[in-house]
Amino acid sequence: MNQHFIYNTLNQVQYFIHKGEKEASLSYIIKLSRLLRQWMHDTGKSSVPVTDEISLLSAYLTLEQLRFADRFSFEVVTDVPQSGSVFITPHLIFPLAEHAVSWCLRQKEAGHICIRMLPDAPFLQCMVVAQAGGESLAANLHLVPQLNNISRLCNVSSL
Amino acid sequence: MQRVIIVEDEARSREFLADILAEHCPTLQVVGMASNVAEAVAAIRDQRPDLVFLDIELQTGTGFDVLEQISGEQPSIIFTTAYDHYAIKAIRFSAVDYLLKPIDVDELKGAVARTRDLQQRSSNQQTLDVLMHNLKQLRANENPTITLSVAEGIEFIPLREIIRLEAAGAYTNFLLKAGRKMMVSKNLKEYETMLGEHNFMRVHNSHIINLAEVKRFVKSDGGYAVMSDDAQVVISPKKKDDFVRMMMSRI
Repeated sequence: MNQHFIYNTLNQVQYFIHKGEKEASLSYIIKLSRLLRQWMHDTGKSSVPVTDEISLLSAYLTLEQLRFADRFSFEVVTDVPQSGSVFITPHLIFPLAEHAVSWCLRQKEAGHICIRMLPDAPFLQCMVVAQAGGESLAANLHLVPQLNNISRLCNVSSL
Repeated sequence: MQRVIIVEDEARSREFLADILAEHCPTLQVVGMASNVAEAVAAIRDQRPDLVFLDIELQTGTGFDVLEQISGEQPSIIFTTAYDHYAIKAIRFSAVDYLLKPIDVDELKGAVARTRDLQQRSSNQQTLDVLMHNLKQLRANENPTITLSVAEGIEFIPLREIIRLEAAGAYTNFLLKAGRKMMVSKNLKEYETMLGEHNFMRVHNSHIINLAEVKRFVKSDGGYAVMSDDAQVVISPKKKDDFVRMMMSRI
């Protein structure tokens, strides 16, 4: 996780406290705590359920989206059946999500980030797509569930 | 009254800084705000502020890009940044002030007070020149080069070309890759500190070696290192533990 992100989020909290916006401050702190807790909880594990990774990515993108509300929207979806019992390596997709955010912030028009997991037997396919104006950025990973390693890494265009 | 411009890429950060300046630094007047490099350069040229709060990470570039484009204008600068990265090292060496975000109001007041002491505009320019120089040095450190005065002229040698240095009385021999050799009229001591930061080690009174060029360490005969050019370099007994530790700590 980019530490820049953590301090900038704390900086937002400082802003809301200063403004006396109690609800926003509390909500920010809770969201950041959840994200950090899950990150630390999964660190060092060889695999986590797909659902955990999905909620980590959603928590991260939610916080970034709060900071840059008008710059991008996002969705994180899984089409994997019983994704709570399918395991993948933790934090593998996270840098791609970070990169998608920083890419969106550099675009002139507001962007949209879509992270989608879908079955592609025997693999689990993960697509990270960012679009803004006519530009787009996409990464397509094929993960091997259970075995916890990347078997193929393809179409990592400009990532 | 010091006239101030705030350069921050996030709206809330700009607003927050402007608010706490109004609250805690009554001698400052915010005359402009900018969210990217182009706006910052234009605002500084138009307003000619005394002081600029400059975020290092801007979405379209960095605060240093702003500095490069405003040479001639000489406001005091206080950098702001969310985390402690390589550039902070250069900033510290240059005695330019910086604030880590979230911003500590006491640190902010301290930094503002120091800019008031340093209001002579010429010293601002000098400080910033030193900063830009240091930054370039840091970037160049990825592949540093050493300047050697030899009998024939001046040689610029990338450090990775150097296998080892050997004392020759008051002079030093540089043993380079491809069997090249250069004699420099300085003693070995001169290079010990300079190269120490770059993975070189003085292993003996007469020898400095590039640790990246060590092929083997042989324990017999009191211990010696075999270099990539097959030269054998004696390790002095009191340096042996340090040497082994340095070699083991490498990946």
